[in-house]
Amino acid sequence: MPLIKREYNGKSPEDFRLVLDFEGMENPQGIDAYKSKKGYEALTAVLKEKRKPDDLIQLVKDSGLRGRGGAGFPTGLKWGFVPKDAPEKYLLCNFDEGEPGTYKDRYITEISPHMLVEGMVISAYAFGAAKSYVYLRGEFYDEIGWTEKAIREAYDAGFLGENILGSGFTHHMDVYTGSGAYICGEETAMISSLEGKKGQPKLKPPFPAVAGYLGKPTVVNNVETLAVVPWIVRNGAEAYRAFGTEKSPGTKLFNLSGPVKNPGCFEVPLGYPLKRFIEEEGGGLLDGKKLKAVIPGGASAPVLTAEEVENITLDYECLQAAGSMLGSGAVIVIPEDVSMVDVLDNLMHFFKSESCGQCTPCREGTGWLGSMAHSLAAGHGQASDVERVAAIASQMAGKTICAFSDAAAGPAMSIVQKFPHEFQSRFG
Amino acid sequence: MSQEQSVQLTVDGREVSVPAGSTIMEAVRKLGEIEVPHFCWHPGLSVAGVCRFCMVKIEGVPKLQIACNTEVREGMAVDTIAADVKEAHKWALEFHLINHPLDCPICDQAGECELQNYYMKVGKYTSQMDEDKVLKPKALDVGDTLVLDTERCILCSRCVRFEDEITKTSTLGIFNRGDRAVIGTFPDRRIQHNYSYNLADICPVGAFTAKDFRFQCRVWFLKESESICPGCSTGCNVKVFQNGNSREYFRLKPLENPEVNGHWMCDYGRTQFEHLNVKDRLVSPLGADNSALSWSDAAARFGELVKSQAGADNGKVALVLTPQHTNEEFSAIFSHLKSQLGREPEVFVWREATEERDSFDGILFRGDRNPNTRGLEDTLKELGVSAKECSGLKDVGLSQAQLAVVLGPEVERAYPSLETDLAVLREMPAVVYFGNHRSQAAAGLSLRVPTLVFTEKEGTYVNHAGLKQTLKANARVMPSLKSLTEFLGGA
Amino acid sequence: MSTTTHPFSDELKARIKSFLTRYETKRSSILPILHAIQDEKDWISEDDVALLESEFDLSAVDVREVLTFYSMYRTSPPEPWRLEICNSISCWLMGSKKTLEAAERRIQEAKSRGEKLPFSCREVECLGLCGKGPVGFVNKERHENVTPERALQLMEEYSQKPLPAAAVRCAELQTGEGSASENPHSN
Repeated sequence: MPLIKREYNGKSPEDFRLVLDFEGMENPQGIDAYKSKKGYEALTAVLKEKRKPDDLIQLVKDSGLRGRGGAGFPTGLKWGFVPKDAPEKYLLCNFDEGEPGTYKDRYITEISPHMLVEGMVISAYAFGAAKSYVYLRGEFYDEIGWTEKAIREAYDAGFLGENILGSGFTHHMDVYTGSGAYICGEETAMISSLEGKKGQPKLKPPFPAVAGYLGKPTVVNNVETLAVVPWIVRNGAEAYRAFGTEKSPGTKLFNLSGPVKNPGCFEVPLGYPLKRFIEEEGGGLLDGKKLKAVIPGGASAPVLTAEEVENITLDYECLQAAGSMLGSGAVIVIPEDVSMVDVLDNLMHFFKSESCGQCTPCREGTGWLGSMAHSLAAGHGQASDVERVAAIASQMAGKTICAFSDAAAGPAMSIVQKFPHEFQSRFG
Repeated sequence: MSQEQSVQLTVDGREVSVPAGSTIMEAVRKLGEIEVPHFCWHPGLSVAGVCRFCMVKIEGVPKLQIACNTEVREGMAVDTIAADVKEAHKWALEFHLINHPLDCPICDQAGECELQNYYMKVGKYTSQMDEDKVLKPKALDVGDTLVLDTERCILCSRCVRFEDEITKTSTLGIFNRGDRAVIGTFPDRRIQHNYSYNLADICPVGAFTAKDFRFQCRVWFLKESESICPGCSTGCNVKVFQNGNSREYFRLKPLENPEVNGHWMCDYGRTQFEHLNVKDRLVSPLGADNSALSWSDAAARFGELVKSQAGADNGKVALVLTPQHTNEEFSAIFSHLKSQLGREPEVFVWREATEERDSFDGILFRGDRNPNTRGLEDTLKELGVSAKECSGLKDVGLSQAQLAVVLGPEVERAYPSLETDLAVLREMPAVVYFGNHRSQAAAGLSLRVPTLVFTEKEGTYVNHAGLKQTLKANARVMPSLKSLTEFLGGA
Repeated sequence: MSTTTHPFSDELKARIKSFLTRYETKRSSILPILHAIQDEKDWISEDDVALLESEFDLSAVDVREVLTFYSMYRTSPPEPWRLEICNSISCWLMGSKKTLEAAERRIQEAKSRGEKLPFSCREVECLGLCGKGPVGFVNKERHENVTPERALQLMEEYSQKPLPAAAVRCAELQTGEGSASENPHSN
């Protein structure tokens, strides 16, 4: 299931396996299966060869790895922001996967939670964290179990704990469980939650790399980001850069959802054509329906029309240029028979439910857009309402502590701007 | 990085220099001429940055930034009046108002509501809101002093931070999330501490209102003047609010003074307007039979009483002072007696027997419930008088005196043993009692002379730390009232 | 009156204590502790929160903020089986609304016949399995492709199962076998 179907850029599908190399194995989640696939070799090499932490940071910088949670921030750069001399630092793995359309991180742990554990220990070593947490969303009952088990196995095998492999490096890891709040996927909201508080993003500056969990330097990285680190350590930055584009190197996990024949999680080189992805990997739409729109990067990414999809490639820069974003890599397909008015209603309901309520423009704006979209969908709207949606959304964007307000505003604006005719037919 | 370093920046073209590490908000505040609208920011609390109202434009920065959490940089050019900044302010206000009930006609905050004020300053738009408002609990009884209307609340979190950072009681929280977020205490728990009225002060809207002021008076009828709280030796700077027409006092609020009280005052201090109003005041001199005397008759009687003790071989005269009056008054009464008697009276400093003088709550409130303990000490020292400090008036040898001249406490509540002490005075041959209370407590003394209260006189209080502070005089609640010096001048 | 037992079992109290020292600060234990209480008694009352303050020194306001912020915590006694269907965009595109309607209709129909099913049904936001929508949970068990037919079938299947221990404990406490001060109907 998870690979592209045919040759791409002169390479065979198998060549694009970085992350998902554990399929078809019996008990792939276990540490033995992982070790049989070079598991913990990278960590062992790092610790036995006493690699300099700064060299590892440089390696990840050179690889061009960008945060896979949605923002696409260069990972090595993030690690580099952590003060070297701070006595207490933390690594926090963002496994709060909740962006509608996204289910890649759970897929990684379903296949091999040890990839994550190894990636975390190496990353922690690189910037000097003695403690890390995997923050999982509360609904991930199975995933919590898989992760806990992998951590236990890693402790038993000596890859976690005091003086790992005799290197002098000590690292402890634990899991922490959220309880139903999308916003906890925002890194500082996650830190607040880990501190036992409401999941509300923290005012920046200071940034978490300087003052995060309990005011200590903290790096928050997505599961997918951390899971690919061992591969980069084993194969080098150049090898990683052989995939993807200049500014978006590597492969990425993309999730396809909505009414397509073959929905799922695929490992795809960045820069891959979106249309080909939907048609070949996804097998096209169910019942031979025509494509109306695509949300390319999870519910917070502005929508693309079917025409726009024609020339889109799945990488950070192309989607940004098209006014949308790569986000978490969740491609959501909207067929011709679904009204965009109802899509707006659905999305705005989500954002209204999930706003943390801290910043006024977001708290009030998401509530307001939620009510308006609902009334438009119920046929009580008028032409001025559509203008109001755009006006409200434009004033919510860029005005708040975190990007949630933008995440609500972007889809709202894109829908009313790109599909005005659909609203007209619904006016009461 | 030294905090001593200063940073030069411009705000709307005006230059200002502030210490490195300051925020734009602090720079703007120092400049004084410009206001950046804000709700959640408060100079006495940590920065929350949640109202998103204080947007400013910074040269070279693509997005608007909040003034309250943006640190100044050398050469920074801040713009608070650009078209997009004004638009952002207008919209920020609209977001605050869409779920606000707009019940100004029945809201006590009306007239001093920051939503109203900012609407006039940066709003004046036609609302775009056409949807139903979110409903939340109203008129909650959250303590002896406060009523909470969670619909009016704009969730600025000032009150939550006050309870976390100042009183450290953490009684308030914001529950739920999104537009269902609501301020409150834990169910059935109340806000019970000595700083609760500050919550009504810092609430920028009418969510917290003070029970003792609810439905009493529209704020636009109130005249504001500055004064010093007489409630304890901290000497908090206060604003006193009086109805301009009726001269009735309605409330006290803190006046910012970083050296003394910062932004706050205690609830005990808030009650220091109650004894100011005419209904509780002694307004004319009274004789021993409680009959009213004219001011001139009273002055004459006082003169006679003092003169009868004049001369070196005559009886003992006691001057009993409470640390509740100004340095100038202490000096005036002492000097007057000395000149009239031809010798110094014996001076007693009358303190409450049950006081816990050295207690302090760690915030503002001190066990010394006198505003001028230090001032009295200083004045006596200057006059070269060694006074006898007494804890209550019993067994201090007063009975040997032929005449006692007493400057009684202005705030009688600070003297819970007043009745016992007055009983001592009643046994004396002659007592002239200066006081401001109509109460019967001092009835039967030879002569009772009305005094002015702290809001009606000029003079000096010296607080616990030795800081001299000056009182300013408002009009007297009764024009016929005389100050101590005016009275002594006629005696 | 039955003897008043503590609303938390000894086992729960031990779990709470272990969470209190597991993280760097005590406050971090609030979320896991609330999960643990809910796992035992199916929901969390104001009394439970007050108890966390009086017996375990956690601030009641802090705990209540957390309790009311996160959507997984239940603040009133629930039905024994909770059908939670994701209605976020991917599942919605696959017909989750119809699933929700079908399940709700089944519950309401029974109600109109005077029969009370041990189910509640509500829509929830994204559950993180968007390629297999509509996705749903029955209590802690995840189900994929929950079409209206599948939802009704699930309700049938769960009807046959013994009630979950937490639901039994919840019912016991409601009928007064637990703490006398507990009043689950106040919500």
